[in-house]
Amino acid sequence: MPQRRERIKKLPKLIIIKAGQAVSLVNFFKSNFVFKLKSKAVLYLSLNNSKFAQDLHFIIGRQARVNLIFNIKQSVGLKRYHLTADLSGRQGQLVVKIVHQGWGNSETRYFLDVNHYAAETFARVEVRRLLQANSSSIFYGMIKISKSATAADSYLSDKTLLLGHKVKSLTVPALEIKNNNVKASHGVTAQTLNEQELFYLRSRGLSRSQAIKLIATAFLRF
Amino acid sequence: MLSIKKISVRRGQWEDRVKPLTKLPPGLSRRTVELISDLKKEPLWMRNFRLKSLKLFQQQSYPVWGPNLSSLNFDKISYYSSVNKKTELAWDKVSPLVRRTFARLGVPQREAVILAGAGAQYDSELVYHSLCEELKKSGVIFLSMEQGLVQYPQLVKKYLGSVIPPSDNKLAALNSAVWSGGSFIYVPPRVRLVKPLHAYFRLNARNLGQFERTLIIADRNSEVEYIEGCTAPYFNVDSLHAAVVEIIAEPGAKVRYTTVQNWSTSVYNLVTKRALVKRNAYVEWIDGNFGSKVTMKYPSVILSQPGARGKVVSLAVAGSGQLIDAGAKAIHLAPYTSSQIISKSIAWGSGRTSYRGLVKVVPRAGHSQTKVRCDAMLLSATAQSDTYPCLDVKDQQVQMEHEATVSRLSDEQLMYLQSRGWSESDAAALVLNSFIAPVRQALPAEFAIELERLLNLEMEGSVG
Amino acid sequence: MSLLLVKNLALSVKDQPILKNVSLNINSGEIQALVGPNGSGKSSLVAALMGQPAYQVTKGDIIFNRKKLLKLRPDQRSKNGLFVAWQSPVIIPGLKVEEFLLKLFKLHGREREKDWPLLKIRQDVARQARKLKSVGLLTRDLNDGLSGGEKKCLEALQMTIIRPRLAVLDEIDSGLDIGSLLAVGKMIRELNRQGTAFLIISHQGRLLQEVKAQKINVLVKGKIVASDGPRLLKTLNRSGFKTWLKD
Repeated sequence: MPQRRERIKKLPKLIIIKAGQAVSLVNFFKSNFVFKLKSKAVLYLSLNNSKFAQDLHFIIGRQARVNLIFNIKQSVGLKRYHLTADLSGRQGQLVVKIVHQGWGNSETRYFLDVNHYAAETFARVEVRRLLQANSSSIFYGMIKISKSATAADSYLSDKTLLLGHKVKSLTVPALEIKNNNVKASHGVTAQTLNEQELFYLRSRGLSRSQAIKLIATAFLRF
Repeated sequence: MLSIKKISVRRGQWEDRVKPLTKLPPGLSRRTVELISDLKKEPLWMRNFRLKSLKLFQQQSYPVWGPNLSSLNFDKISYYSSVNKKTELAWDKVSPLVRRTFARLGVPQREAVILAGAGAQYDSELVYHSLCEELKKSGVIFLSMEQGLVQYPQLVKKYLGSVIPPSDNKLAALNSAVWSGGSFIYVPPRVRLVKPLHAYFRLNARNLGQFERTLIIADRNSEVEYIEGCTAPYFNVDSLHAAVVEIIAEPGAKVRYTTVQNWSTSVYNLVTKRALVKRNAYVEWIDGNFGSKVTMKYPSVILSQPGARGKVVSLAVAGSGQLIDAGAKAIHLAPYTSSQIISKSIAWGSGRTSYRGLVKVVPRAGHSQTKVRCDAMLLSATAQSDTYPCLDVKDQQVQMEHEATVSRLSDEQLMYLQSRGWSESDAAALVLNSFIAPVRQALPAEFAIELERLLNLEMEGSVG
Repeated sequence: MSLLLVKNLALSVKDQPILKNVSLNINSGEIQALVGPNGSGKSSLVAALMGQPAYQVTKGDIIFNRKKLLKLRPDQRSKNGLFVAWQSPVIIPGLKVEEFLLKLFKLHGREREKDWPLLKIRQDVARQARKLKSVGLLTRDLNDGLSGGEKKCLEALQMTIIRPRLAVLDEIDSGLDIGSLLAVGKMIRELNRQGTAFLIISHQGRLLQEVKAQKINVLVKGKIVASDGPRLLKTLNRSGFKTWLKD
């Protein structure tokens, strides 16, 4: 039986964002960090190139907010992103935007865990994946709402545009809801080009490749 | 503040005073399987099929996902119990006590009016079976699985296990080893059944396992509808219902399989249902789950040739002490295929519902569409809902959509309806009935009415 | 004869006072209007009339059709002849509009009408829907995916089926195009001829002119500051609520 290679986990580094503080991290491509946000703290974290950040854990305190923007372009290799968010303080918020473009034979795996522990917590996760050539992408998104998270509001949207002949897209959005006074839903689509949209643009004078480029750009900009 | 006292769903929960003729002691061994085969006077090939399956069952382990089945003790289950010597063709030949059970459940009456044929299984054997004359003349076969095996061995040999082999999963292996009862249906080319075929399953003996095996073969361009209903009384020991249903829809065929399951909360309901859908054929699974302690059921459609279409409509209502883990699988193996999955679940008390689904589109299965909609309603603070969909697309030319929501009866909806004259509990019933509208619409008429009656809410309104 | 008598009503939401001292009297068959700037408490009054639990009456009383309204549950108030056309009607997915209207007919229809065969009721419903150009809505799910104007038309449609003693319309004119507005106005006048009294809450005067409202009540910061005939409309059209907001 083949052996499973365990990922060796080093101790994560802890960053505490103090109450009321706002921190902005641009192009943060380090791995294995735990961000603890105290009351009303705000964290903006963006990632804008092909280096990756793995194993990021966010503990969101009362009325704190985490805003993650990932703009990933990948053409080779296998990359994994693990993101966990614990909404443990009342009225904590999480907003995640992942825009992914895959080319070549690249394979990207996103693992996202959103855990609502406190009341009135809010999470919006939007993922857009544009897959070309032979690229493939997996997205695992788990939303858990615990018994104590009354009036939680959680939404996940994952849309994939399939633009290559051998692309592969796998989505596993999961929900575990233990409180009935919540709003929780998710929507997933995976589609190829809409022929009617293409036709419309071409009837306005664009060539096929120009039209595709326009549709793809509009798809990624949201 | 609104709290729901109970949803009265239970029907057929009383225990009959019918004594079994033959009942095997609990426990599963090679000897048990051999005994069952002997009792049925089966040909050698079936006996070997059973024994090979038993080996597979003993080797395989439980699935790593899903509800915890470790408390189900296979050694405490009896694998065979029958109350009759043979399957009768007329209700008045059936033993009076057994007949009374089915009469209480409305089976013979329904048959007289609206069915093309009916089968009634009591514990492990079919007590009654009939098919209307003109269908028999047109070549339609509707028999118990045992009769089918004896009268049409080539057909059975060809198709049995072709969609769900014993190696598929542990419960399928178990069923393949100890199966008893179930329906064998063959519809010849271009024959269209206008009225449905009905089967009724009653699990009466204590700690019994019921393992019906159903095989439906719809030949080219035929059409058939099959309805299955199940009940069992409540005991404080577990019973097991591990059925296997295989459907083969040949090119152009249309099959609709409806199940309304209302097992008592001492039954483990673990079922494998799969349809192989060929060119331009269409298979629809309509699944109503109201009972059982634990249900694991994922009706599947394998769209194996171009033009194949499949639809799964599922309803789960789970109350305290119940876990209904249901879902659907749509596997697109060919281009120009389409699938639709609609799942509605309601959890109340401390009940738990889970949706587990798989939509898979393999490479070169392009120009295909699939749409999944699963909505869960949580009616109490202790109810739980889980959704685990898996959407696997490996071809570019695909339109895949999936949407899931979890909600509850909102105060605004109840207030709006009350402002129009509905009482609080009537308003809740209306919202719930609207919630399950897609399922209601897919059920045959008399079941839809039954469904509205089954979902009978009693609410306790108190000023919050 | 007094149909609705609101006596010195004070209302709070989560301990925040919204209405301070509101008195109104509407007689059978009258058409009255309630106007006021945003946040003055108009919609809260409407919600309290129907008994929405979030609103607590801290003082005063409401007598409707000679009964103590505050002692009745919302469905009892509805069955007693009180109708509210909500500002934001609720969505009930899976419930077809036509199905809903038929059920309403059964709940509220007069005795002889209850025996009508289903087909006749459906024709009646369709006829009313045509007046409001809402026939296409009959097959949709209740308020699911409907525009604001379409939802308002549906509220008006329900009113014609229920034929209440008093219809309280919360901004039914918002979101309606001029054609629908005139149709709703016509419907109100027709129902009024058959005996329904109206309390129309509105920002704009157009509908109030259409229906020839007999009395205008002005609500500012939780109090009724003026109550007069149609000439009040002219004053409002000229200078808005400035006169009362100054205090």
